[in-house]
Amino acid sequence: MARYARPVERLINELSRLPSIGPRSAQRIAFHIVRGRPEDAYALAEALREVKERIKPCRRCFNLTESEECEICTDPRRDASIICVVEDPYDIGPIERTAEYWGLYHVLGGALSPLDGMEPEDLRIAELLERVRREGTQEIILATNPNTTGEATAMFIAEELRDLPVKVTALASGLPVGGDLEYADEVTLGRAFAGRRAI
Amino acid sequence: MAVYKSRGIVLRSIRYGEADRITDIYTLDRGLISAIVKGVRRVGSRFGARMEPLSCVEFVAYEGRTLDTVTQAEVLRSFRRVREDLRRLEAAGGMVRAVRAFCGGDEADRRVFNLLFRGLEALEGRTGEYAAVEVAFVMKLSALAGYAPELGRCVSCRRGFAEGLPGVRFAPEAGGMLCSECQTVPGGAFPVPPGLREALMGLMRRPVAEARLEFGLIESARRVVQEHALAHAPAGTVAQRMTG
Repeated sequence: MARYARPVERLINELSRLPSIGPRSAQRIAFHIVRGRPEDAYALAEALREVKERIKPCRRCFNLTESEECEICTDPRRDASIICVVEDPYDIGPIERTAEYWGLYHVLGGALSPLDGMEPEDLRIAELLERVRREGTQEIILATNPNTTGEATAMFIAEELRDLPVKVTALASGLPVGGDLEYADEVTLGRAFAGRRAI
Repeated sequence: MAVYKSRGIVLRSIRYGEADRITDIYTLDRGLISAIVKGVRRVGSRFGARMEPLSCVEFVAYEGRTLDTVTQAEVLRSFRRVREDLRRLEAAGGMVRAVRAFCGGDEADRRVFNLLFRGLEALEGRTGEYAAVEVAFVMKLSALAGYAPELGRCVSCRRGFAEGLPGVRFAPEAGGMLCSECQTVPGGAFPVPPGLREALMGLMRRPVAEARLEFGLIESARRVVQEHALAHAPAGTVAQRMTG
């Protein structure tokens, strides 16, 4: 027998399928919705419906967009000769917030994982190569995550691009601004030494 | 909640929640454990790159109901050169998946830990023939786990092989090599090239750091260890893409 009325149970079940939401959190959110104003619940439902109906991958860079091409790809002020390669659409936000980059993006849809068996065919690497050939890109910036899978992906893409007339760069890695040297791990500190710059 | 200190090699790491990772660590004294590393994905995390896959670490953790939680870690050996080279990393991937397939329980086996450490050391130290290290590692690991393939005699009729006997097949389900007269044994047997049986026996005898394999035998050797792991490893599905 259900503990709560069927619609409440259904809501709890649906919420508990979301990442990082366990049964207790799902129950708390469900009762928050039940207790809240109807218009807030309808707004949430409408937002969920809208995002599923209207959001799709940009046909050029695979960022999320409402139209065929995303706002970044269609912005004439962006430098179309540079493509920054990221793993997921949500990696674009932090880069945009730096206001240091004015090129385009390419979203891979994940990272290679030789340790788990995630293969290049599972990512949008072929689409990137095709794009570089078609658009005559001059520079590719590999901005995959600075971890094992991200770096494996960057190495693989760099090898694939080797025969194309395009400059391939990767984001610098080293010490985080605001941190103490004392707490840096050996790998990060080693990278910081390898990538030291003249001042 | 019991706090403990151990040494281990990080086998894999998956994203969890906002900024955490769940890691599988093969430890010296607790076997394979899963532990959460909180906040490790944040740029300013105190863990930094310490808990990256393949790192050999000394760590402090406390036990949880389902997952342990790592609170401190120090790198003993980062095996950075393995992580930063795709071919080495692919071979390490096969080794890591074999450990998870053959030694997935919480039963500690120092020999497995030492073999994995020496295997990664061999990958880091050499400039080629990474597949030979991977195949040698999986062969030795299967023997440590009690699933050594029978290479010295026919697994069906039990007669010893003459050197270079043609028509030898490998029967994963039966767990070893078949002679040319035992062709009808079921279990997905497939032919192997001349010299492979001897090469695999050589890999079993020599230290993993000295693993050598003729180029022409590599693919067949990988198939043998992959199919053998699939047929016998307790967590065989983990091994499905073991050497792919």
